[in-house]
Amino acid sequence: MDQIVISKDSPIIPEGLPRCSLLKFSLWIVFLLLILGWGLVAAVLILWKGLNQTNMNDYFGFALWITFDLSIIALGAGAFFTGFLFYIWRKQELKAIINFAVIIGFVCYSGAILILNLDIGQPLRAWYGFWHPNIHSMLTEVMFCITLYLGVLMIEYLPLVLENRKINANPGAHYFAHNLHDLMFIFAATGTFLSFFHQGSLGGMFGVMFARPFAFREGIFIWPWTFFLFIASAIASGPAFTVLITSLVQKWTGRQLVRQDILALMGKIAGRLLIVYLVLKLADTVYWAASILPARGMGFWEQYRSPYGFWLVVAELGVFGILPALMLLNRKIRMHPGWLTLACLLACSGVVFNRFVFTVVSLALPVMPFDRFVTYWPSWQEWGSSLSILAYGALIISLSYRYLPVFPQERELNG
Amino acid sequence: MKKSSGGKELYGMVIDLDKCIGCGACAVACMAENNLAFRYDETDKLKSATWMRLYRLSNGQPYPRTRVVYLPRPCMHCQHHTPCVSVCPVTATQMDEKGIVSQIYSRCIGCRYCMAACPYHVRYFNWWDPVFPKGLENYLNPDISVAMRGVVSKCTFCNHRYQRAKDRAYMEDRRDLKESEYITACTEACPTKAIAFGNLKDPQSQVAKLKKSPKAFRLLEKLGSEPKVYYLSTQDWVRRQGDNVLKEEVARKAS
Amino acid sequence: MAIDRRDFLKFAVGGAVGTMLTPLPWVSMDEAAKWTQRWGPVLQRGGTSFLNSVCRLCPGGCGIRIRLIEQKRAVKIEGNPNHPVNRGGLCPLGLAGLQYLYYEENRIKTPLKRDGARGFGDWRPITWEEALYQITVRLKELREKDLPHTVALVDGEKPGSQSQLLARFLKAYGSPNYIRPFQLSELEEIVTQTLHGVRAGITLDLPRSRYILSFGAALLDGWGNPSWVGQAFQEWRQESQKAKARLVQIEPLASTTASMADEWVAIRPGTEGILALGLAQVMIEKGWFHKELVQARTIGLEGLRDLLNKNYTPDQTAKTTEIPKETIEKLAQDFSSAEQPVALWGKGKGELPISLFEAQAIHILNILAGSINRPGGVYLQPGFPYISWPKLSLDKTAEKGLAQPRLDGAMSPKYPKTGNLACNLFENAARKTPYPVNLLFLNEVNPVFCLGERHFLRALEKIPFVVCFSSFMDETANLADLILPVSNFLERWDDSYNCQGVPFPIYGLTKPVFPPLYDTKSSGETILALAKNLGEKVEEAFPFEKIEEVFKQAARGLFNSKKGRLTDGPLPEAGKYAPAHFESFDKFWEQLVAQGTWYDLENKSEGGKGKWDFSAATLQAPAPRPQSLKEYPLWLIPQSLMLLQSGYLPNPPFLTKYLGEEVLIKNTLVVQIHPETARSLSLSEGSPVEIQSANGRIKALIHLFEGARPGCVFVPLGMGHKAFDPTLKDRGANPYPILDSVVDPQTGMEVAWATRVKIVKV
Repeated sequence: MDQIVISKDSPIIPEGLPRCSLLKFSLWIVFLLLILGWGLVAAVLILWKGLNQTNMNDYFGFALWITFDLSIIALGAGAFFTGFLFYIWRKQELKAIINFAVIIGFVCYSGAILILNLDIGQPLRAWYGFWHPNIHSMLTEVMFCITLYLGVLMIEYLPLVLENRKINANPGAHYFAHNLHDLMFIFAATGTFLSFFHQGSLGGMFGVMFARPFAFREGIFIWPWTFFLFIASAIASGPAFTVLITSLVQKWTGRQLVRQDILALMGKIAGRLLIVYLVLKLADTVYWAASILPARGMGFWEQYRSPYGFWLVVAELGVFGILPALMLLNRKIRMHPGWLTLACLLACSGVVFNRFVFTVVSLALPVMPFDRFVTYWPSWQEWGSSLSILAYGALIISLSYRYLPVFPQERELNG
Repeated sequence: MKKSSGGKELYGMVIDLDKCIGCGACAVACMAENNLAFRYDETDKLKSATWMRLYRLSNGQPYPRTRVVYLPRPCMHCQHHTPCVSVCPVTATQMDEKGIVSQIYSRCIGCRYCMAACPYHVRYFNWWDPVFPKGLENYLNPDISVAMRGVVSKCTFCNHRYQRAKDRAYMEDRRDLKESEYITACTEACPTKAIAFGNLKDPQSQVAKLKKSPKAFRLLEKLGSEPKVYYLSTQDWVRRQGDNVLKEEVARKAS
Repeated sequence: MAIDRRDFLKFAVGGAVGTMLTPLPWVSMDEAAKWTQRWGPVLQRGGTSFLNSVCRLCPGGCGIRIRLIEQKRAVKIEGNPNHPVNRGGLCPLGLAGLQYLYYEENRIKTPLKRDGARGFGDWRPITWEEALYQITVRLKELREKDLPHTVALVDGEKPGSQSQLLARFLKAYGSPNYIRPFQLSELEEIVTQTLHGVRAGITLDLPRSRYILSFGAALLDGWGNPSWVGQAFQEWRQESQKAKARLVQIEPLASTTASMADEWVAIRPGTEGILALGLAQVMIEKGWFHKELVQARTIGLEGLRDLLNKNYTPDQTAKTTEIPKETIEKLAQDFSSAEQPVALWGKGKGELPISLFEAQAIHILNILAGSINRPGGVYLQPGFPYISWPKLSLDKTAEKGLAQPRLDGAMSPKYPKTGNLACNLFENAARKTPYPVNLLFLNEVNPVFCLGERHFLRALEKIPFVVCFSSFMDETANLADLILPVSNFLERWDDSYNCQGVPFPIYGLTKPVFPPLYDTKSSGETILALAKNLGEKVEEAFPFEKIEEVFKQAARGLFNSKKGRLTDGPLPEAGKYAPAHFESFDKFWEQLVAQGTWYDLENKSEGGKGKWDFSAATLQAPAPRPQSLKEYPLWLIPQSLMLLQSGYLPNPPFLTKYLGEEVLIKNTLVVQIHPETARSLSLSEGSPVEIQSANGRIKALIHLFEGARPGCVFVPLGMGHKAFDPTLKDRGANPYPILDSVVDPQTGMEVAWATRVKIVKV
């Protein structure tokens, strides 16, 4: 991969950066398009025939898609949080990774919104959230914030696109991109504000469901504890996800793209935040088990029924919580690319587990004593559409990596 | 017009489980009244829209001490911090001043957050287009629109019947409704008169009297959602199934 | 001018930005959303009106109100609050009644003539003239050949003027073969004739009963008249009552009734009659019976006592019924010491016969308790005496035909008291004994479903012409030669004599809500037309210009009785009942049409002139068919459900929608067995099985239920149709054909309440 390959598309590849052959790249793209095609078929079926194409039902109104959305939105938090650290907190080292963090964020949010449009029964009325908002609903807040934040992400992504060699040759584009860069701190601040709220509101969505004791949490003013827990877990796992994806791209391309100490710095930030989150989460769990559940006539162990048993808690907080947190706090492990990647993978899985528990287990548990406990398995249409979002993300990242100057350190690190 | 009944009315229901024989008349009356469709196979009860649903409760005792009891479950029309109303992002569901939780089909975006928030499973998503086999569209009630695919529907205490009763009263130059002038379709149909419906705020009404009975209980009272549907049962095991009771509490009660 | 890529991009970007500034995207967004709001059916609005009528879906005769839009579209059936039987409530079947009227797929829209072979569904629409002509030609021919008796009619119509018309037609034509399918009333009449010496229906003053001993009657699952039982149940559960009523259910399953009862006595299937006699033994032995009444009205007590002491002591009874001796003694004590007790018989909904032994044994309890013709008890009601038909004069041909024995063997020397034995008809027709059937009319019956197809097909081979009156293309209609589509009860004139099981006289008048939706006629109209075609004496038997006149004649009888009142206002309070007065018959008729129901709360009951004879009772239980217990180790017990029709009527979709997962899963029937029994057969919840009897097999899924008696399998009756719409067709299994029956030597009826079966895993 080190030799410079002259491809047909080399005029639009950033100058001096070696990329694989166009054929190889095209094959990869075709593979992604195949998965996207699967998702497209699923999406058309769902939009045409309705949600009967899924395995959701009146008990499982929220299912794979919501878990998926909540997970990628949490993982996409790397964008706003890195932006916050870089533009507002002035952590200059993070310049090396901020571009990529923005791209990952953009992928996550746009993907989530695409899935959300499938997930609602009336996609053509999606805009009612803006036109007839219920200001008391956490979901309204989520809808406003993620849509606006996607706009912010687009603005943050735009200068990067304009820096493509060919586009940047246009003086207008060049000038526009340059000026946008200077204003970026404003958008970073806006993004931070919006993100804090919608990450929190996603947690709040579940925490306010007082009639679902599994999810319900008390809190401050209108915000249940889950509001803060979701923010904490998102800002902890977001940077970890950025590191994870960067590591994967480095592994894939065989090129060092970001200095290991910067990745380690991200890891350290993630690790410390994860510790904070875990302490809060454990306190929350204890309070929930000792106070909230008994007040509603429920026992702690009743909340964990096969297949959604207590192993979920062990996995979420232990294997995918405390373990990666401890790993990330250790400098030696952080500086080792393989271990760092693993720790980040564990941390990211932890947040996915958490979102799964809140979406699926909350609904699986019957509240009425005589009601039934149901489990659920997604249909191929649900899998297809979800996987195609992953393919879509891979596509955006692949195109960006190939054609845009994403990593400012790349040239220097690969001498 | 706006303030004509403000504050004087609060509708609720009392269902006597000792009298309910699980015949399903309430459910059929509800489906006929509210333009609910049916599909050829409705045996998947997780996708079967039954606003008035009959639960079959069992005492779980061995033969021949086994007993079943039927529990008809309409919408509870929770009075306090109605779980579904506060979460709807598009204001498609609201509680009006007479205590009825409504659902506006044409406003609903089908996000199903309300379904997640409701512990009673009273909300149903329209997974399919409401198809009426040829000829059956003739019996559709013009007072209530048919819920289209992709939205959530639910029991409305036959709100349109309130309107009809009001219109009739208006024609007779009255402002207030008499007791039982407005009742739901299920109440009316019940062959054993197990369902009572009326104004909880009127101390003379049957429901106001019945809900004070020592036999009365509500589903999941511990949640604090203040359902306006009360149940009556003389059987302890039935009442116990109405709410989640911790093992320690059972022991404490027994001692 | 060449357009390079940059120009194109500029154009695209500029175009996009420009478009966003126009109203176009916003208007289309709004329009798209508005479009989604029109996805459902468009509702036809209009003014509401209500029309009173009477439900004809079962013999219950409940008062209904039909809500009409613009007086041309029926949108809802509700109970009539002024009706003395249902008082505003209604059973689920009645509430779903419009699904019979409007469901096009199930209805037959015009007379149909068979083309091609029978049963292949090759139908040609013909006119009514042609259809009637074809029948008339055959009827005339048979009369000319002196074979009028070879015409048979099986009539599933509920008691009322229409069934009278049909019976009268056969009589005037000259056939003794007017045959009704089994109904519990058939047995009631035999019981009263044998024990009381008078043929009467048994009606029950259930709301006032204070101790109800039910021998397997699915009281709360559709037995008798669901509305009447429902009203009674409500009374029993009324706290304000002075004496709280006690319901005791004797049954092998924790059914709805058993569960809601105050006491459930789990009995060995098929031993209900024995238990009844066991109770009678205790009552007589301990002197716990109504001595005055028994002394004054009965004979044969001594003989009864001797027999009971010999065979039905508590020990013996306990052994056969598997009910503890103490329970038997306590039941006897409770029953006899209760105020206004009543004992009920007729298992399930009463859709299958029980043995005369069982019916009599249970009825003896009522006599011993003094519950005959007493508030809260059993009233013997002799038909509906208010209506007089013009005298029937027969011609020679008819007289000769009527002198022939009946095809079904009813009212024969062998079964003199049995009025109808529809099950025998097909067997005899197949054997052409005592004579062949040349023309068979079937009116609103579905024997292919209720008896089994093989049975019917054997007979069909020997019957040259079958005419089916039906609203639906059901299994039986599909095998007919000519189908005459019957109007729905909302499209026709009809009436009901009495409400099944209700102890006071009621007349319900059903009128057309609107003209028939399709080219249909009521069977009464058809009969009038046929009579006219046949001419002479047959025509003279029907002096009615229009079908309404038949009902006007009935109304005239009511008017002339100077009794009763109409449902034109709230029900009278207790003790404040007074008959209504009408100036003229026209006024009465006008009001009757508007209100739908006439009733007379002053009960007329029949006690018979002679003594009630215990010695007329059969005290020997019919022997079960000898069968290897090894081969068929389990009992199959048919289960009746309120939400499942098991007779001529297809289950309406709303009811089928509501069937639980313990009845149907997808297209497979679910049967209930005890977990213990399942374990012994290594079956678990949801196991697919085949239930095999000596007569056949059905497929099912297993549902484990603690409340099912071990060693029994409970099978719902009513699914497994091979006709109708997709909610019913090929869904579940029909247990009727695999039931194994024993012929009751007293009545000739086929008793099939428990069948020996085995379960095979598939």
